Amino acid sequence: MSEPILSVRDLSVTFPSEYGTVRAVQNLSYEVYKGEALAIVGESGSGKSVSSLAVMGLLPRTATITGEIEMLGQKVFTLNDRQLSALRGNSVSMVFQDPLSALTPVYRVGQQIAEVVRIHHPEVSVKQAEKRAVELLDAVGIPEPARRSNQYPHEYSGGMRQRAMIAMAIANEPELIIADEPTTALDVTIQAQVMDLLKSAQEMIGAATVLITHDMGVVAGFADRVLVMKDSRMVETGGVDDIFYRPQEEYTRNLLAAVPRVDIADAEGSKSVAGTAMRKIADAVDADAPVIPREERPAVLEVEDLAKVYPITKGAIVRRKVGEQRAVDGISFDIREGECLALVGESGCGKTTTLMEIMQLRTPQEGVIRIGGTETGALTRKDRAALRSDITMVFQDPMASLDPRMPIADIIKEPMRVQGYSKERMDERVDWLLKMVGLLPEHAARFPTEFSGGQRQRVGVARALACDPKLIVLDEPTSALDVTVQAGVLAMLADLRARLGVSFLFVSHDLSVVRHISDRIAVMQKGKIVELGDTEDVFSDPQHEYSRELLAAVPIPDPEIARQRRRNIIDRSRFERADNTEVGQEKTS
Amino acid sequence: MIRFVSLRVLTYAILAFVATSFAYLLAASLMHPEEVLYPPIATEPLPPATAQMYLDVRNVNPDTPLFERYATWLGGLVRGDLGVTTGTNKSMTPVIDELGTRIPISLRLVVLGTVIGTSLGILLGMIAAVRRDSLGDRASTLLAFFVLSLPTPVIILIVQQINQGVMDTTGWGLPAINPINPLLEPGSWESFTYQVKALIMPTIVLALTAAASYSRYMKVTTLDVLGSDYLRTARAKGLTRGRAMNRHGLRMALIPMGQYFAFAVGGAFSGSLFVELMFNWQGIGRFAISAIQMADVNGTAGVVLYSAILTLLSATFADFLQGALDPRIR
Amino acid sequence: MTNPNDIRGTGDAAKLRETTEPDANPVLGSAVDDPQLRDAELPEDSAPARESLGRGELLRRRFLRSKSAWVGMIVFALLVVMAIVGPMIYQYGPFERDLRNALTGPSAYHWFGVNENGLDIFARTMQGLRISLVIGIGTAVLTSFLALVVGIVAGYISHKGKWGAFGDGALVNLINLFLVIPSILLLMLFSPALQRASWLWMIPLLAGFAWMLTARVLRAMTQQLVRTEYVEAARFMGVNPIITMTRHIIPNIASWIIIDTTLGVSAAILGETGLSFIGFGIQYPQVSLGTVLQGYNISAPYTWVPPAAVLAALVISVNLMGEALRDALDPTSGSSRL
Repeated sequence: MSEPILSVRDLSVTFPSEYGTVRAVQNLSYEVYKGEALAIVGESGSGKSVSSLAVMGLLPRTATITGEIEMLGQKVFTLNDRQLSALRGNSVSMVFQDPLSALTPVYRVGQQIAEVVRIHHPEVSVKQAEKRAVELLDAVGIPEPARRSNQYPHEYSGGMRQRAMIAMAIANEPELIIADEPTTALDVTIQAQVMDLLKSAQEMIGAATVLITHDMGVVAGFADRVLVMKDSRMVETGGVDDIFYRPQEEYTRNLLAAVPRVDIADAEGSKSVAGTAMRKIADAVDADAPVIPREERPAVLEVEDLAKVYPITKGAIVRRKVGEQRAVDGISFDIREGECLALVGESGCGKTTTLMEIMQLRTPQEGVIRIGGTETGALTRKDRAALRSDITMVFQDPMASLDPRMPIADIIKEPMRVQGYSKERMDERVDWLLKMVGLLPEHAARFPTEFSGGQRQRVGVARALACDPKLIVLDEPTSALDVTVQAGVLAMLADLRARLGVSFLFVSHDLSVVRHISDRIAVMQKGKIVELGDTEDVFSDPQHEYSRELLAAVPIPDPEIARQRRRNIIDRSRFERADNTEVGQEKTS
Repeated sequence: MIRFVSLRVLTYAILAFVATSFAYLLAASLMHPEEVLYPPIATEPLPPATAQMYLDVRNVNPDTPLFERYATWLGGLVRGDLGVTTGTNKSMTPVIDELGTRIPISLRLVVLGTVIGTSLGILLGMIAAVRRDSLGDRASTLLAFFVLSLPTPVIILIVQQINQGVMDTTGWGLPAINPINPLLEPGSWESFTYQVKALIMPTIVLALTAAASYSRYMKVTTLDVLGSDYLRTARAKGLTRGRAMNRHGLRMALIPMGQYFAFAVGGAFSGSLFVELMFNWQGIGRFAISAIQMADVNGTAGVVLYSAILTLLSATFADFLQGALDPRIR
Repeated sequence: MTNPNDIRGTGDAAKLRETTEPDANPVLGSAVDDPQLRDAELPEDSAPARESLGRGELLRRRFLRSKSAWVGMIVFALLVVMAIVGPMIYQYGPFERDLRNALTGPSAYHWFGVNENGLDIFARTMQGLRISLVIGIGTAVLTSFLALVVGIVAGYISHKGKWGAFGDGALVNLINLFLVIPSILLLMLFSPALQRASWLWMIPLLAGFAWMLTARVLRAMTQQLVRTEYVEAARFMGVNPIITMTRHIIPNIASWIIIDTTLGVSAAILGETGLSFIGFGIQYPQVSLGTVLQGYNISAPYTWVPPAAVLAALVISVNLMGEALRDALDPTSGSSRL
């Protein structure tokens, strides 16, 4: 192999902080060769982003950096800001995580792309640079690039912004592209498109790539080599096949095992932690009692023709309706006792609106909601207050859903206090609930900030369980957590369901997460349920085109399958308007 | 953009109108011009009929119901007539004329002070944020802190005392008590330079307070911008630290500044009150003080109207600026 | 009062971010967390790692570590002692005339000198300091209370349907109305009428024209908090709105309110001084620092330097404490990425 484009030797980064010095990166060494794709994988706080910012020379001034970084034969730490700036954007470029905040809101997208051309090629005229910007936007698949280049970032969707970021990154055909979690903020189908785009862009200009991600699935389809990081240190590094099929370190194995697999059903023996835990539980329960058929169990929640329409108004003084947006457009489903229904769809499909309509416990705008057989519209104030204990909710973000100023005992007691429990009973239940979710009763006096993300989510579950609910609504309960933590929380949820017989309405954007926990799946798109059926049926034989698309887009942490899929996509793009079903079928076969 | 600004202007106009009406009603009900009109030292009391006529013609007769007086005043307002001054002098000067001669005197002070103060404040705040913890940052932050901890009269006293000290030692100083020297021929070069010199100290005072508060605001928003993702992107594109700040940071940091601009003008107005009093300028501030002291209902309402319009104009200007800087609110 | 010298609000609602996640660091993310803090795969291990430092404890430590906080507290305490003890032991009263010594500088009898009307400046300054302290603290507390009520109610109801939005709009326009009115003019209008009753009327009067900016910030903060999931959770549990406000919203903005009240003390003192200086504030038989300053004589600096110095010391000490509190609450403010 030739000389490396980038070589990092013994890099350490430390920051001063309130609690003493924080070691963000310790003794990290790696090399990137021409045209190669290296993935740096790790969970939050593992130091992966900090190390790449160090390469770009973009760390804050408070950081202390030791070690050596050599890029294109130049030692980065010996360069001053001006010399480094000449490299940045020209020979090495970066794609950032959140494209909304990473683009300057007050400049047109076209201007921002043209700027990167003009910085490094001042001889190019403004006109030419803007023309180049339009070409680049076209190349990254933005429709109507000429018009779009005159728009501002806030007029773009998330996926389009990330495409514009990529256009900016490849504008000067750099030798090295660093992509820092480029798809984390995006929907799964968009994520697949953006990763494909990044891969083809890389191949087009022959650049080396460093991909920083927490998602093993994304890595499998993209990288040639993988570097695993944990707690600021490198765990292991190797070729992509070695890491996936022959991991040397315990941590790598755990990391791989924790990723929920969309492609493997229980029967085939998923290696994932969540799957294993859940199977164990399922076995135990199955042995106990014969399962009552679904039809004979009473319905906990019934939703019929639910619709929520938001008017689109115009005019500031006299508001007139110019149209309407059907956020939820006539959906129906029901949940039986002890059952888990997964509501799956991408952002903006109306999942959250549906949840809010149910949780309101009021007459919906259109349609009927029945809880335990009673219509929500017919409830008196008193009934409604009592019903609040039967249907509870677990929120997405465990940081935001617990009041930071309250000890967790008070947080868990809050619903019980509303229901008028006695003091002794509340104390008793808090202990029991904490044990139930795998926390210690001694923790009751602590504040939420003293817990980690996964532990906080457990507290959220304990609060939802406080008054013996019949139905728990889970709004993306694991999407804010690291994969290894996510597996633990999922296993706990499955365990609770089996032990307490409570029903779940599990909302998620991620099909792979719900595979092991749900009995039935409802796929939602643009306010409608496009497919509703048993989990196994939906996975093995999706009926609706959108379900197939969703399934196909979920990244699979298996390099062999990922390469196979990618080949299919390329094949498909070779034949214009190739049959869409192909992807779905190859996936499930 | 035009729609956005015109809508805001309409809101401000309504607010200004409500505020002025409110002030008029308050002034008319709280003040007692008739007590001032009958100075107790008058040798013999006026005949009741004459007194009534006196009060009626000035629209301040306490026997007329409040809302009738208000309606009369409102009718005048529509025609551009703000009534006449009341108080101890019987000259019945129209308020509008009085304002007309005084506004130019006050306005040059307020406008100059605000413009110099805000620009200086923005500059200092930005430098302080970019060169954080440098000597310049510490000095300007400390200075702003002290200026903001002193009431305007004390600042004026300090400035005047320094001027006095310079005058005592060198024999040369700035005029401290008059905006226009009545001994010099109006329109002459000497008169003009005198006016400019007389403007220096009051402007310094107003600019100093405005700059102090503005530099603090600017420092906070600039620090926010410095921590932003888009600035990092701009640097990743290959802009040096300084160029990234100039091209991407400055404009973003200026956007929230617009909101504070209206308050800066309001602050300059109350500041000019002290300045005019202590430098003996016959401007609006002086007029306001004497109008309230002499229970001049119409004069007070006129001053309130002037300051409301001033705030309205500056708020509109601030909105316009914000709209020009930020495409998201257009 | 739209006072240019009001140093509150410079942080504004942007600071709420830090209020809710005290350790947020843009670059490190959660790297600050101790490694053990992260969740174990399965729930057995749940020992929280960071030593159990309560938020209040952390704030207190940061505050006490700051030098300016100590300077502020010591100077403020000294001034309070002076204000209490000064008039008790001093031989002259604020209105005793010593015309033979009129316009003489500091001496053993008249510590700060005598003004042209034969009034002792030290006696007047100490009396004025008393009044300024009472007015400053009283006004700040009342202002915060008014702002809290208006801000929280407006912020809370703004999401509650059509009527809520209408009520919120009305309150916002009320705030704007008070901002458009040149408050100093209205204060000048009201003050003499109310002064006839009692000088303490100054407190509600100043507060009545000082609550708007704080209310605006509190409204924005409440709106952010109402959207958080824990307030939503409380709503879904059927918690009564008043309880939600007192249990969830107020504790989360309490630290900000404390800072704002502290800085409000200095704003109120400056407002009162200015008003008294032009003759519309505290009236005879009371004396305030503003009225003492009124008797300035530019050719005799001792007529105005002592009251100005005491005033400056008072305001600066209060501001130092307020700023130290703010820094303690928000140590990461403006951690730069450049």
